[in-house]
Amino acid sequence: MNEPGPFNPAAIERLLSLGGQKFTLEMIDLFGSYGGKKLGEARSARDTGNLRALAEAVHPLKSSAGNVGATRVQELATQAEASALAQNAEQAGKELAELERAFAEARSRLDSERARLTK
Amino acid sequence: MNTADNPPASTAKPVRILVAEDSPLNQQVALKQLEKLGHLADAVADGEQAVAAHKRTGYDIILMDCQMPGVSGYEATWLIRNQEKEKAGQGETVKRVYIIAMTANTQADNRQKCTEAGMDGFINKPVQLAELEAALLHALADQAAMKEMDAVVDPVIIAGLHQLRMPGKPDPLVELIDFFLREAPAQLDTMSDAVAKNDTSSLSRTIGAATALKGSAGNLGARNLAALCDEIEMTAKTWMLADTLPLIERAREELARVRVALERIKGG
Repeated sequence: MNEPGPFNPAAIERLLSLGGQKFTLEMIDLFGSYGGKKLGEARSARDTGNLRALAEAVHPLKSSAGNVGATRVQELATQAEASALAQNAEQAGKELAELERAFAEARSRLDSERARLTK
Repeated sequence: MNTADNPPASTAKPVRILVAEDSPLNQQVALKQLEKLGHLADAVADGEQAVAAHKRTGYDIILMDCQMPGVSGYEATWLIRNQEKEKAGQGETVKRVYIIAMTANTQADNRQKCTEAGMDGFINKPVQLAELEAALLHALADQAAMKEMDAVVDPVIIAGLHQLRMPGKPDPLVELIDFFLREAPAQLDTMSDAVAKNDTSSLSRTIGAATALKGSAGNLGARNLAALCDEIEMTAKTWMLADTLPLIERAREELARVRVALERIKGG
């Protein structure tokens, strides 16, 4: 079975078909700002050992990431949420660190998409 | 807003829709998808706001995220269903809102929990346009069926009968429905037989059966059937027995509709 890639360009095409260029750019920006906010909340929750809050912070990242094609972020948010709900602090912490890296990569990829769309 | 470049994917009649979703990105995508399908919608970010907005506006459909901060989608649905029950208990006409759960399809978001909370449909997140359109069409078909059912059996009378339920005892509404569905066809047969025989007892048998069925249909809120039985009774009382035959046939057809509605009510 093929591993899904870290990014699904079809999601951007879906957004374009749904709302056009302006809407797609807004969604890309919203993912950056909202995702960054939620990851900040998740970090604070990890630092204070509040695993429930960590799960709640990463939960909305799953579908938000799916909407902009950030497949790897979607997967890692799902895993981190499950580990946090299972009270596995060590695993949730590792997955959160990976999630942050994947988020940075997704933002970089979305910046390229933004550049392509505004060219 | 729909333009020539961006035509609606569906020409369905617009309905009042509320999107309850805490992620602003998902919220904006859902609103845009609904716009594309030809529907105007409002949006709120948590369950408490969803309950308040529905109380103010009375939406036809709510797209409800299950996990939201504060009051969750499950709790909000439970609160909305309780409001509906309370209204019905006070004799108010209640329009049941159709609630579609938006689930991330994980253990925490399981569908059984959605059903138990009182949600009617499900859709996976991130929501895809085709899946949303199918869910809305399903919701509208269900609501149309419900409206049709309300025309056959008075929902206020049913709500009143629901109130008679006692914990640990058989549901009296279900017992009443079962009894009615057993007896009603026999009463219509009695009328047909009596008219066909046209003997000395025909008149009293027809009137007796029509009166009995009128009463039991009226008790369950089957207004049209009760009215038809009243017409049969009145016609028979003028000694025009043969004229009751087409009315009895119409009553049979109405009973078939009543049966469908009552079976659905029994099934919850």
